[in-house]
Formats: sequence, structure tokens, C-alpha cells
Amino acid sequence: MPTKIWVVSALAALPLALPIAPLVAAPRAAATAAASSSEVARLEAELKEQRDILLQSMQVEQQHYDLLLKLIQNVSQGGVGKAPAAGDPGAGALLIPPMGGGAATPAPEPPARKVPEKTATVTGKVQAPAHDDVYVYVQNVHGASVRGRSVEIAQRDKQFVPSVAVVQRGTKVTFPNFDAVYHNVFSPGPPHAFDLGSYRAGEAPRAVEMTSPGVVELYCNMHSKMHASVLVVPNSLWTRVGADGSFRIDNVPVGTRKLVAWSPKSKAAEQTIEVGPSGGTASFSLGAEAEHPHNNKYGMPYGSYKE
Amino acid sequence: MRPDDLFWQRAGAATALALLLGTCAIARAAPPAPAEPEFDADGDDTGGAVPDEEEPEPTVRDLSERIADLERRLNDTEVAAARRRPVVTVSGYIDFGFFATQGDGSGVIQDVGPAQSRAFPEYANKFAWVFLGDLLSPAVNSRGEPADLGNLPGVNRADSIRSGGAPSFIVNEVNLTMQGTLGETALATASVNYLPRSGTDFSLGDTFDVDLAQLEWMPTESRRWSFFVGKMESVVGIEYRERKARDRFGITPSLIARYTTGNPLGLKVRGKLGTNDWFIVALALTNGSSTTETFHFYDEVDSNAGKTASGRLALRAPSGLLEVGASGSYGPQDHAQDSRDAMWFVGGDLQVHHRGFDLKGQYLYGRAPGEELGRTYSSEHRPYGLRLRAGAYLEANWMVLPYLGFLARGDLRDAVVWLGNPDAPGGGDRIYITKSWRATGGVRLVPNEHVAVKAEYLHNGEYGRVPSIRNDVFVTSLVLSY
Repeated sequence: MPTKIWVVSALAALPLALPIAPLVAAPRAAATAAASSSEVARLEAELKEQRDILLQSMQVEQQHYDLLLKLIQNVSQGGVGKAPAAGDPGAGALLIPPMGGGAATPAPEPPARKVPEKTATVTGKVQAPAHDDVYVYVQNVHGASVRGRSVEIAQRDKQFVPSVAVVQRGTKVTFPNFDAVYHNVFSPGPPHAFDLGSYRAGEAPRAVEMTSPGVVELYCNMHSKMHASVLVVPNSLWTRVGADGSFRIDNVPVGTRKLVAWSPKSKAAEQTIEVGPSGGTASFSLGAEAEHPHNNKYGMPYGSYKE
Repeated sequence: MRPDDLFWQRAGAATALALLLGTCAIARAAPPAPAEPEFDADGDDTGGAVPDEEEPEPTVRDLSERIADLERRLNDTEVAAARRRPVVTVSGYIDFGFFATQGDGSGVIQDVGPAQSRAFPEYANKFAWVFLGDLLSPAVNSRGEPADLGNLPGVNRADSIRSGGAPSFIVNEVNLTMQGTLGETALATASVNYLPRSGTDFSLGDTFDVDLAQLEWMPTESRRWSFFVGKMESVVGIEYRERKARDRFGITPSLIARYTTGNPLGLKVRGKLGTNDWFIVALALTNGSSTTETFHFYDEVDSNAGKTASGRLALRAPSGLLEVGASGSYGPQDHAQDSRDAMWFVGGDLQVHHRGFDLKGQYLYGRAPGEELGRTYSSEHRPYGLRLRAGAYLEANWMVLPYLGFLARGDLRDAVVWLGNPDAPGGGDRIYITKSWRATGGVRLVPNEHVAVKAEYLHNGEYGRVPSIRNDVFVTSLVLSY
């Protein structure tokens, strides 16, 4: 008999239990949400940490290159093996052994890394449907990340102005909003995935440091027609193609070089050329590419009325 | 609020808990789950044992490899963060307001008395009841609800606010909008409004309505063509785009919004053509007209076999500065059980946008014959007649500062709406004669993207033989979006 009562009680409790279950489950769900938030926070912290490490590494690398440059200059000026002076700012960051102790010392072995001794000029031609926004850059020359350089892309009349920009790695791009309406700049990445959130005219503009080379597509989460492209180049070896399609890039280190022609209206084209002491030439043909629709920052289509 | 799989987790947890409670099962035997290993942000798998000896100086090659690795990890992290996207987004708003009206809050008066003393004696022997004015002119919110429908004889209406002229606070609407993707090219949207209202005789007066339940499919690569199915927005005119409190610059709808901002059920296609989408076409086939549900027309579920075709063609300047459109609809009368008599509208619209300034205007003309002689009509399916001689508005919105804007609007509505046939034996039932104009001034404050504070003053006026009715409205609205 008591078993029956228990069974009946249990069955009677079931309808009561169902509506309160979500309430009981809420703390668990909240805990899950908290866990999710902490996961995001952890990811953000990790991202920041990685950025910091990356920047520090880049600084160290910059100092290395400066040092190597000095060594090369010393070689060309007959100062082989001359150690940096004590007051040389590069001295504190010396990570490769000094190459000898005095002027009489025999020339040391060249550094393990191949250092280009000469540069030359690369010229060429790009065939493209329109030459108003075509750029050519050298991809496989590692340049230093620029620091303290800033470029502005405004949000005005529900457009990005300018809609195309080329910046060197390390440049900070600022996005002031001059419209009374809110905009939300984001990029789905890669190379840079970010979401700057919503702000309007009068509010402090938000910015992103472009640390990785590649094409960064910019959109507004509220206005589907807002679009801009930022080409982040790895070095200073880039140029804008002239109206006749010709281009010229000076100071390209000799050797095997990969050149890229890019336009926001075309698919990028690559070409590997041999740059000799007398220079090199390259020619590209870019085909027109229709602009593909994009999703909003949640990965959803905008819908017909979101313009 | 960005619910992702949290909902399913919660539902699953709730179900599991309910079952556990229901069967009195006690989960005591289950051993605790092994703790998940902590994520090592440094990616160090040495267990923290770092040899206490000096590491050799890294070479340039080492550093380059490390940089490359860090850049790759950074990109992976960024992409992983970007991919943390919800399956469904939930947004919405709370629209809280206050209103005060002149008179009893209603926009109509009865034309009674001997024929000679009436404003419209020609209708004295044609309709049992003759009313002058506009039922919906004293609107107090973006839904267009009037402060009071008045105590009109011969009808028992759902008077949702029935303020009786008393100033009152009101929660105009609580909205929940859910959007989810069905693949890369389809978007499902549902919008539900909750309306807290006064109850009667111990019953709750709260109601809710589903104003959107649609699937939008964009099959083309450019996504410039959209096919809709479900309960969707109208294609007549332009005011439907800002019918919701969250989207409207001001508070109240125009006097002709009742004909164009309803949400019919059916099919729709909308396409954008040409460079910079300079040509826009929208066509729809729906159960009934695009009138609002809280008026004399509108069929949620159709009462006849015929369907209403509507469409809009528009030209837009490449810069988006100017858009000019023409639209209309044609179909069987709403509420009619046959498809013999047509109800139709035709109109034009204009939009000018420059920086923080917007100018919007619309004109509408329409007809519906109502009940014809010699036919029988079910008491639940009696079509109203309509003669909309002219309906128009012109509205200017100007954001003077990013957080402060002003509104000015002029409205006109010259219409006659009736029930029953005046030539039938005994005449028609009722007729509403409207010759109204309205001037509206408003202010809009936007402290941040989630809050909008709005205030409007509506001066409702009458012209022609319609006597003046005291039904001006002062209304405020606080819209909290989430």
C-alpha cells in the first residue's frame, strides 16, 4: 500500500515538477552561461596576451634587423667585426654573438640568415577592368611592423570613407562615426576578426591595429551596404597602379620574390619572379569579380529590408 | 540577449530534473565526473616543471618561427572567437508611455437629431447611425491604438485602452523578435507583441499578437531577390518599414497607416535591380488587404477564395538621397465570403534622405463597395464599404544632434466607411464620415542605442461639414531595446 501512495504521489508531483524544473535548472543554466562568459573572457585574455607577446617579439625582431643592418653597414665600410658601442641602444638587445673583437680581427662568418645585399626596381603592368584601386605589393619580404602609424576610415552617410585603404602591418586603423545613426564596424576575418560594437557621432572612435597581412573586409552590422577593404601589406614594398596599368616598386631586395596584384573589385593574382641586380618585371591580368553578399556579425543574412 | 544552445541545455536540464523529481530517483550512486583539465593558456605541456637552467639565446630563425606560430595562433583565436555565433538571435523592446487627451479620448461624435439639424442630413434616412470624425485619430502609441473608441451605439468593440479621457501611463507593447538562419540563404523571423491591458469582470485584459512569422529565402548569389512566405510586412507604401516603436522616429502612425501597415499572410517577392539597386520591385499575393487588424478590414484567415495582389515599384537615386515609389493592391473585399467585389488601393510615396534629415510622404486612394443589394451576408462576414477620397501625410525628421531630433508631420484623411447598404430596405447600419487633418510635432532623445525617449503633440482637426471634435493628444514613449 505505501508503495502505491508513493507511486501516485510521484505521478501527481510530475506535473508540478515540470513547471518548476526550469526554475531549478536556472542556476545550472546560469552557471553554464557564467562558464561561457568566463570562457569568452579567457579567450579575450589569451588574445591580448598573444598580441602582447607578438608585439614584444616583433620589437625584438626589429632590434635584430637593426643590428644586422648595422653589421652589414660595418662590413661595407670596412668595419667588420666592430662591436656596438656601449651607448648604442641596440647593444642591450644583442641576441647574436658579436662578430669579433677588433679591426684587425679576420672577417667573421656571415650570419645564418641570408641578408640581401642589393636592391633593385620591379616594374610591370596590370590588366584590370578598372585601374582606380589596383595595388601591387611584394609579399615575401619580411618588413618591420610599423609602430605609431594611424589611418582613419570614416563612417559618413552610411558609407566607409575611403572604402579602400592600404596599410602596412602594425598600422592602427581608426573608425570615427560622423553619422547621427549608430554603426557597428566588424570584420569576420581572417586575417582580423573583430567587432567594435555600436557607437555614433560624438562618441570616441574605436580602432584596430592591423597586425597580420591580408585583406580585411569591413562591414557594418546595421547597414548591409556599408563595406570597405583594407589591404594590410607586410612591408613598405607596395604601390598603387597607374591609370595606364603600369607600376614600379623600388628597393626590392634581389632574389626570388612573390608579387601580388590586388583590387577590391577583382580576385588577387600572384606571380613569383626573379629580381636580379638589374631589376625585374611582372605582368598581371585581373578579372572582374562580382561583390559577394556578406552576413551580419552573427553569421546571418541581413534580409531584404536591412540596407 | 544572444541565446545559443543555452536554451537546449536549459530545456534538457529541466526535463531531466522533472523526470528525476517525478520518479523520486536519487542520483547518489553516480560518481563525480572527472574534472576537465584546465586549459593551459601558455600551451605548456611540461606540467609546470621548468628546468632551472639558463636557456640559450634564441636565434633570428627561432624568433621568426615563434612569430609565425604566434600569428597563426592569434588568427586561430580570432576566428574561433568570431565563430562563436548564436543559432538564433532574440531581440525586442519595451515601449512604456504616458498619454493625455482632450475630451473623452475618442475621435468620433454621433450625428443625431432631426435631419434638418444634422451635419449630414443626406444620410439621416440612409443609415441607422451616422458618426463623424476618425475613430483612430487620437492614437496614443505606435500601434495606433486610440485613447478611447467612445460609447458608440449598435456595436460592441474591443476598446483596448478605453481611457475615457483620463491621462494614463501605459505599457504600449513588449516585443520579442526572434531570428534564425536556415542555411546560408534563408532567414526565419518571428515577432510577438505582448499588450498589458485592463481586464474586465475578473478576466485579464492582456493580449498578444504575432505580427511577423515569415521565412525569407534569398536564393540568388547576389541576395538581391528575396522570397517571403508567412505573415509578413506589407508592400503598399513605405510606412510599414517603421511601423514598430523601435523603428519609428516619432510615436504615432499617420492617419493612413491603417491601410498600409497591416501584416497580411501569403507570399511575397522583393527584388533590387540595377547599379546600386536603383530599381526596387515588390509583389505579394495575400489573404486580404494590407490594412491593420484593429480596423474595419483585414483578414488574418481568408473568408473567400480570391486572393489580394499588391505591389510596389520604386526608383532610387544611386546615392540613396531620393526614392520615389508607386504602389497599390487589388483583391476581394476583406470579410466578404465571395470574391465578386473588389477592394483596391493605389498610391504614391516619396523619401528624401540627407545626413540627419529625412522627408517622407505618401498619398493613398482606395475603394471597396461594401454590401451589394440582393445578396445575403453572414453576420460574421459583412464587408465594410470604403471610399477613401484622399489620404496623405508628409513627415520631416531631423536629428539636430546625434542624440536629439525633431519631428513635424501633416496628415489628411477624407474617407467614408460604412456597413450595410443604404439602398436596402431599412437602409444601412452605420457610416463614419471623416474629413480630418492632423498636425503633429515631436521630439526624440536618444541617450544611447538601447534607449529612446519620445514625445508628441497631435492636434486633430476637422474640416468640411464635420464639426470640430476636441481630441488632441499629448503622448510620450520610452522605448527600451534589447
